[in-house]
Amino acid sequence: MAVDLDALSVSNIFPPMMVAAKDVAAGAWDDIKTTLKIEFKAVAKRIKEIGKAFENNEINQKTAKMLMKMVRNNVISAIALVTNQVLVAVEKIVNAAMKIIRDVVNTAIGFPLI
Amino acid sequence: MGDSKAVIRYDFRPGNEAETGWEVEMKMCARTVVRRWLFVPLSLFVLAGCAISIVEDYDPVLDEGLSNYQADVAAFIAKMASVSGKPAGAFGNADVQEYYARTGARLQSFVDRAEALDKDGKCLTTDFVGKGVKKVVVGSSELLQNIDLPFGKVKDMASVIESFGDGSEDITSGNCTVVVVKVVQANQELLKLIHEENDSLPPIVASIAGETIQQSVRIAIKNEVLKKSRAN
Repeated sequence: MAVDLDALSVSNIFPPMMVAAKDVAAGAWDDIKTTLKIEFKAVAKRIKEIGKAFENNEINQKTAKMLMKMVRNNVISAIALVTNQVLVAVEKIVNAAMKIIRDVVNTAIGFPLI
Repeated sequence: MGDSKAVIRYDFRPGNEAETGWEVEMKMCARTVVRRWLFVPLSLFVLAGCAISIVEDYDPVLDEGLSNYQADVAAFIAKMASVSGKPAGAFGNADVQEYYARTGARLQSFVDRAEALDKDGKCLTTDFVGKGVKKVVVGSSELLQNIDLPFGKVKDMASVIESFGDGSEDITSGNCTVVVVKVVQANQELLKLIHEENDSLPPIVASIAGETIQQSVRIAIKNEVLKKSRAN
């Protein structure tokens, strides 16, 4: 069986890999921006509410401390979520690139090797 | 020269010195490097039939459990706000104690499940934040006191701000799913302590704590939805 070695050149494989990566990365970045905007805005709102309630003597210092700790925890949680969003984007980029290689190799060889 | 395949063929043709200049050799060299160090390892991944996975797996039980908890805690806090100052809303009330015991055990089972997804996993960013947050916050407390935040007008706010860093190392260990679930658990524990401190959940406290807990659960659910999306 003849194998189309010319089809396996870097110039045939690399550009579509980059296009696939760019598409995935753009979508992922939009999701990350949305998460950061929503979660950090919520954090800012809570800090303001705690400060206002403490200033108006509606909550004592111990309660203010504990509420602040809850907010701090949510900052950490938002960072963990964004970390996973980045890692999932990396997974998708690499796997999209792998699919391109698989398609090119299988086409060049003439049967589904991979 | 526009066709890269042609360049390589000309290069090896005997007696065709005019085509084997420095530029052509550099192109060949670059191509060889790309083939050896990028294309070959990637091809090996493909040949092995690998799809890479660097984030913990989606857990449908965790996803459903968090959604149920979200509804339960919202109902509990709303009820506590409505009976604040009455015996039914007191921390020592049997139903209140039963709620905290039941949800505490449930959230511990969520943390255990998340840890089982990747026992040795580390959420690198939060691990870093956990170690650094206390130092940064304590160092910034004076600055935060002086800027125009509601806190700036309040005396003795330094200790409130400094407490921001306490315990941050505990919740930031483990994979990122563990971290987001530990935050839900930690916030539930703080709600219990606030309830104990005030012996009730006054509406203002219930409002702030309720919104904050809802945010932590929303983040944990978003994390599960994110992992689920990989399969699509």
